[in-house]
Amino acid sequence: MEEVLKVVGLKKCYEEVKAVDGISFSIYRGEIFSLLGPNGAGKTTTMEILEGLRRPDAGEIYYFGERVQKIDMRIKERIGMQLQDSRFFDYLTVKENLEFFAGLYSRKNDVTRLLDILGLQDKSKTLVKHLSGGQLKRLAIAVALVNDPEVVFLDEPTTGLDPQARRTLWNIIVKLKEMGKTIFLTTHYMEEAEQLADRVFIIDHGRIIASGTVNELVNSLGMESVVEFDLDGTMPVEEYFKDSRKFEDGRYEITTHDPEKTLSIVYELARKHGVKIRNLVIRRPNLEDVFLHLTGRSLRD
Amino acid sequence: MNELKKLIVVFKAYLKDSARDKTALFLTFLFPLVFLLIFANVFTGGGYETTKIGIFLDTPDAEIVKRTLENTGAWELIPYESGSELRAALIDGKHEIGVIIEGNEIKLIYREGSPAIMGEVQNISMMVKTVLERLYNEVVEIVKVKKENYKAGRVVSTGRNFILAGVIAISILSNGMFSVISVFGAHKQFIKRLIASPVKPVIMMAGMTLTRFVISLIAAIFMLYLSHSMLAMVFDLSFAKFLVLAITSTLAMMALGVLFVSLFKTSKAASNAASIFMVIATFFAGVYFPITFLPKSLQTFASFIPVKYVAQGVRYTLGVEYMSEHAFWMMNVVFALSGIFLLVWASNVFFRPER
Repeated sequence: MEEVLKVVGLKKCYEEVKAVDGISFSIYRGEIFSLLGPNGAGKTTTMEILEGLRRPDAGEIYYFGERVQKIDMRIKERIGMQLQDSRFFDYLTVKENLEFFAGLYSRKNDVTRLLDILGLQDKSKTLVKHLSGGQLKRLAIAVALVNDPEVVFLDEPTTGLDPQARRTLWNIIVKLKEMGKTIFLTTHYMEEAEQLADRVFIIDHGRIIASGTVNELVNSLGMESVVEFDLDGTMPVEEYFKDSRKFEDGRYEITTHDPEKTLSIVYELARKHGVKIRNLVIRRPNLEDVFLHLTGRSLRD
Repeated sequence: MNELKKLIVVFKAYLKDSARDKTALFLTFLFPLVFLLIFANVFTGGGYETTKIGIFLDTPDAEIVKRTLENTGAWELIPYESGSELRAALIDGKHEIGVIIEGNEIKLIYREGSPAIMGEVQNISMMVKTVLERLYNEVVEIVKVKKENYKAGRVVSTGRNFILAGVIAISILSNGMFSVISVFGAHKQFIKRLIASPVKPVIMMAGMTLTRFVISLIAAIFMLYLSHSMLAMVFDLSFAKFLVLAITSTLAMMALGVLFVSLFKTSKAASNAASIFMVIATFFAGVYFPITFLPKSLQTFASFIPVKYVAQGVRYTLGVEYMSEHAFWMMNVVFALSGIFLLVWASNVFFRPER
């Protein structure tokens, strides 16, 4: 597979804080590559360095097989980006904003086609200041595509959106992959990475702590199932299960090889302590469990 | 891609965006006009009335006083039958000043706590005293006074066209300064998106600046047209010089905006500081009234406010104030150089990747 972007030992510090601490990875043509991590992990800083919006302190960046010292006009012509909090000309319509950005590139996508792909046809004559949050995010993605880029950077594209708008955007991102675009996606939603990404790199405190496909990462836990439940009283769950965790809302979670045996012990304990079990769920482990296992913290913390 | 094409794209987008922003349009076009109408009437002929003075003379000899005061044209005299009647009229608020002449005694009565009339009271007292002393001492008039005025510009300077120039200067200040603050301060995410695009910072800045030139010029011409057609103002416009001044002063005022954005951390703070500066400029830079009205110390302070020179330059191009050619062109060179320097600096500071 062709390597379109390679990063080696990228570093960025803000005074004492190491925002990006020597990370390395490669992105291949046509894949959706996701950088998953909690807020403040270094995702946006990494992405903005690769977009030419920030200068790295150290590290090497290779675009399309060539080492680049600076993200110059030549590279900018071949990449597209949706920033986390995008702003546009408020008093220009959706179409006019797209035409403005298209006018800055020598390579151009058909604006009408983009409106169609992003589901913004009926809003093409609407002033940007009248768009909803979801429509603004879609416009930001459309702007990222105006130059028909080879690599598209999407920085937390669904943050702040309602579930329906999030689903709509996920469908659009899948459509982009089908169009042959290479997508670099940052997110702190594990469901998003699980749904969309071919490969996931988990970042925390500026360092990559795990990488691989979703299956590889989940399998690396060596656990088959996760048992989740609520209790209407108290019982010493942690004493019996090493891989258990109690959340702030009182819900318990136990990662296990043998869900049947775990369940029987939980029921026995509940009976002994006169406690009732509620909302019992047995599920497959996910990226949230991987992050929890690696850091002892939740992605949402 | 051709940089000129990109410049046109940026210019067109900014122009469209500005033209559709109704609040900005009101502030650019109608707000200065409202100011013009208000100040033109407050400070000049539109609202000017001669002061009415109540007068009581107990001797026919003093009639000469009445004639002398009336001949100045500055006061309208209202005669009273008695001193007490005049005092009652003053207490009723009919006049602010009253003159009672009884024998060789002159009484000047005026309302206390009204500093605006103190100058008039002083003038009247001196004039009445001189006239009566000359009369009673039978002094023969030997000194003749001739009045001669000279034109400050190509047309007769009136309060209204003085204010028109001030309004245009303030409009250029507001248009240039606040546009920069809004672009560099309020839309950081937008700027970020532009930095990520393949466009040179100087092209972005040039496109934006060109938009401001056009808007400044249209606003100024709009004000000139309305003041001529609606307010019958007379001026002798030197359009070429006016055009040069509009461009260089817009550049300089944008540079002022750059200073505010650079000095203050947030766009809100920069905008607040710029608003305070605009109020100071309005009142202390000879925009609506001559700075000679101000105390000496404030006149020195005013010379550090660039808007003062913009207003002077506009008056010169309208033909209502004299300025040497050399001073005019020097002023434009300083405006242009400071503007270009600060805007190029700003484009490299604000349109570059963050450290």
